[in-house]
Amino acid sequence: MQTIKTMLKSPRFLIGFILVMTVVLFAVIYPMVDTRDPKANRLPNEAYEAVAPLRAMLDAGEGENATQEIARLIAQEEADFGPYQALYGWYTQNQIADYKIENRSANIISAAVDKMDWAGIYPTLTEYIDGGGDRSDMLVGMRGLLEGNEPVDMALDTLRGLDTSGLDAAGLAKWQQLLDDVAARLAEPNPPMAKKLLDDYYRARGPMFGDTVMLGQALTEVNDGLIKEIVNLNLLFEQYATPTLLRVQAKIDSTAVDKAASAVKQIKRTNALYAELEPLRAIFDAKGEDTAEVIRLATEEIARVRQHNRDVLTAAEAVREKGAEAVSAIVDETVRAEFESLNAEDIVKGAQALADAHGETGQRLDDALSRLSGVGVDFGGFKPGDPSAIKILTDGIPASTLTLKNLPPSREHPLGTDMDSRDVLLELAHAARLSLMVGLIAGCIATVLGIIIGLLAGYIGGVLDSILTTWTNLFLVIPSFVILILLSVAMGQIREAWITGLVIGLTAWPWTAKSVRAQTVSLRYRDHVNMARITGNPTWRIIAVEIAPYIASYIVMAFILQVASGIISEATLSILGLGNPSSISLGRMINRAQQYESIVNGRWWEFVPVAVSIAMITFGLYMMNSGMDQVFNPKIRS
Amino acid sequence: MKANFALAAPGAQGKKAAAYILTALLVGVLIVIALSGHASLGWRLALAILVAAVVASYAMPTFGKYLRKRIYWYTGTFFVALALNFLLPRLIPGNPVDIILQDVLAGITDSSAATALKNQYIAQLGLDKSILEQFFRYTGNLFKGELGMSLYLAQPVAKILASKIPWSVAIMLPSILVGWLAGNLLGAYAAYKKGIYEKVIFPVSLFLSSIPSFIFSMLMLLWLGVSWGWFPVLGGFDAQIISKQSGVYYMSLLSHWALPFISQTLIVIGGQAIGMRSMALYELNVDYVLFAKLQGIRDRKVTRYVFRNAMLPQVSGLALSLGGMVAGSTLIEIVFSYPGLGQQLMMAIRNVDYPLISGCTLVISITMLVANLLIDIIYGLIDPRVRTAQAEEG
Repeated sequence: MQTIKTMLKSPRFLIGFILVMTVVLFAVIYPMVDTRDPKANRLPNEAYEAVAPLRAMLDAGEGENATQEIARLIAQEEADFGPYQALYGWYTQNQIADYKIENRSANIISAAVDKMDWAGIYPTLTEYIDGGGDRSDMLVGMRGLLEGNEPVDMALDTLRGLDTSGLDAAGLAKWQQLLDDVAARLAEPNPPMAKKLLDDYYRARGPMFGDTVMLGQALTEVNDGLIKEIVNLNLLFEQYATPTLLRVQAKIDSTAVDKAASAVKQIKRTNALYAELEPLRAIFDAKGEDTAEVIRLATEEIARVRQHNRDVLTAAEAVREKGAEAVSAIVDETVRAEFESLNAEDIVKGAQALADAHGETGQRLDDALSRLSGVGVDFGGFKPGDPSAIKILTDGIPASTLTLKNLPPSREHPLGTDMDSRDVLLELAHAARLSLMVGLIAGCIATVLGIIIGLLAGYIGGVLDSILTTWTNLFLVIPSFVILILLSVAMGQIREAWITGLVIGLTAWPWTAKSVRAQTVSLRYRDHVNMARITGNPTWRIIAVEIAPYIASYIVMAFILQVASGIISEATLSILGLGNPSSISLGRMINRAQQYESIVNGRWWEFVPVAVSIAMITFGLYMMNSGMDQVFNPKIRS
Repeated sequence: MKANFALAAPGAQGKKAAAYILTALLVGVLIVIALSGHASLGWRLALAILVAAVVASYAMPTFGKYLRKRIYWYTGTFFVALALNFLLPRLIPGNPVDIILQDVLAGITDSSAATALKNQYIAQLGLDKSILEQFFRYTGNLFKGELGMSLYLAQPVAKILASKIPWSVAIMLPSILVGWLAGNLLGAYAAYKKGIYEKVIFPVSLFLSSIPSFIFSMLMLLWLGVSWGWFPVLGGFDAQIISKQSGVYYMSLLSHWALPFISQTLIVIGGQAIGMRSMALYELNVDYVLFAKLQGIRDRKVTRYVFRNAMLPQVSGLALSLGGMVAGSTLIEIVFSYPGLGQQLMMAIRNVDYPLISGCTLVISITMLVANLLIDIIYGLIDPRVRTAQAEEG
């Protein structure tokens, strides 16, 4: 009691104690107050952000502004496919990266995902974004992929495509049975059952055993994730992609005009009918903001010119059959004028040339007309620029489920949000809790081991001392850092926190053991110890009663340092990428900040609080240690 | 009491004899390796130095004995470190080939082809042989300077390590030297002057030395690099510079080097100042100082004695930091994305590249061992107490 009072009088100890307890209390109490799951799956926000102003306008009932906003979005060239690109980026990066990080056997899973042709979506999307091919087809295809639980079907297709050539008739029948069962189960859909069927099949160990195993793993490990993602993607599609599609539709309309215009402009100046298309060109050249109006005017004009062309063709046919007298029978004046200007001597030849020219322009005009007449894709019944339609869509987004990522600190998120839209404050509390736990476990194990080995070596001496001291010195010289890395690599990333603590403790004991041994040796031949020995006390009693109290203060100090170094070791392992990726620890948070380049991008709230927490714990512990040193070692008291 | 080598345990003549036989065997093995024509030049040189040191030690009575014992002990430790480096990665459950071939095998549906590929790899890596045979092969290769091929980079591990170590050394060596010098001066000053100096220098140093180096580096990077934009924030040089001979390239090298160097130097200063201060305080309170003062010896002379004694652990601290140079730079390099060994180690871990990981850890172990051996030798030379204690014990 007296010692504790003295220690609390030491300002250094007190400061350290307060620092450490601040973090400890925060880590213990905050998760009790805020019981949210720090790793809660939240939807990405890029698409949401893109329509956010629009949503605000619609909420406020500013229909006119909203229409303008839609027009602005459409016109904004660089934001062409922004939300889509964001969706695509999120999709490729997070989806696959999350599988790789979160799951036990990253490579198998990504291989399985590839195998299921889940990845087939990306080329489709890429192609779409690059603007290659027919966009409407792309959209339809992509929507099918996104909506239709396609991957599970593809898994089945993969099963069907397996090489069954090595099976005998019975095996083949069994295989067919399996396929049917799996198909039936997948149709439900109930992947765990499908997995069980596959498990049953493994026992038969057919020639495609490896493939089946792979698929089984894929079905068990990926399917939950897949289904979740599919749900997410469906949600995404409904909530984010469809508004974008509306814009895409508008875009397609405007490109249709461009394409039609270019089809018309391909009719060269040398063409005999160049002048005839002057009004049409004028319409396209004067193309204003209003695409629909351009389409209407151009369609009318093309229809007019085309009608004229058809008349000329009919007339030319007649002239070719009946000769010059047929010209007088032409009712349409403009057509007749065209024929009358021909050379009378060879009117049939002239009619042929006239027909050729008109035929060629006619084809081009048909082409332009077809482009103008729309894309023919049904975008869920929504018309471009229809505010009520967009309102239906945007109203469906519950804003509360969305947390924007990389948000700077605000009232809702006192320390902002990180790259996975996690609340940093909440995450920090959980992380500090885990790190403190790992540090404590490591500190306890290292100290206990150190005490046992040190006491035994120091007090008993002899051969045991030689062996233990050699052993201790060995591990003092071989860096514990190296052993820690090698052990962690050997054990793999997925492990409980206490195992991490255990491993750190198992590599950290040597210096405690060495110091305890040195202290014990100095105590060994003290008078009171000799006395106890002579009076026949058992060894354990001498150690416990005569020696331990003298080194107790030292042990407490060593323990404090061991906890500090345990926390640093955990952080070091995590930063090196050897931490458990699904757990939240202080080191893991720094690892992620590093990985997502928070520092370089100046998103300080994602790592400064973590850094401060670690600094508070370690600095606090060192201060405590140094304060105790002052109390127990009067010589260095200054 | 550094050396309490089992072979040199007190008493028992038989144990002593056993110790001689064992050490003779060890040295014999080393000589055989050196002469067998398989060892690379570096290894031969190292072995030649060791053997020369052992031979020369017979010319010196007390120190020689001490030196020999240290050399034998570290040779033994080296083999233990080697064995650990060899064994620990082999604790991985399952066949490493499966892990290596995971990606490749995923694309192969023909199971016989997969088995053939697997067997080929197993034979190539020698995994079909006994563990002892594998260890001899591993050691033999090591002495040939071969550490295997990196699975991910498809280059010899030794070559990768050789290209990365200079970067780490470039950061750590200058900062350890500068930081050590400045730190000791500051620490001594704080202990001697006390008062206001100590009230400032001590807490700042304690703070610098007690927070992990990566935390400090991150904060430095944020403030000096990102917020204030004084230094470039990524890499070892500007990647856009193509010519490696131009002055621009060297300027870029220097500017990228500055921030990690400054951070690391400050950290070293903190640690050394703390150590020096407490050592000096301790020595100032030792009885001989009081005695000397009572005798009327001048203050300056006493102070000189005090700091000479206080310097001893600091010298070993220097050697230890030099030995831990490669290990210590790991996290700093990761924070600054500096292309040294630490960054490479992290990449190797990320890519599950076992040969490269164990190559990195081996380099770290060996530098540590060499540094420790040097400390012991220096200690034996400058501190007569250590020498005699050791010699008496054996």
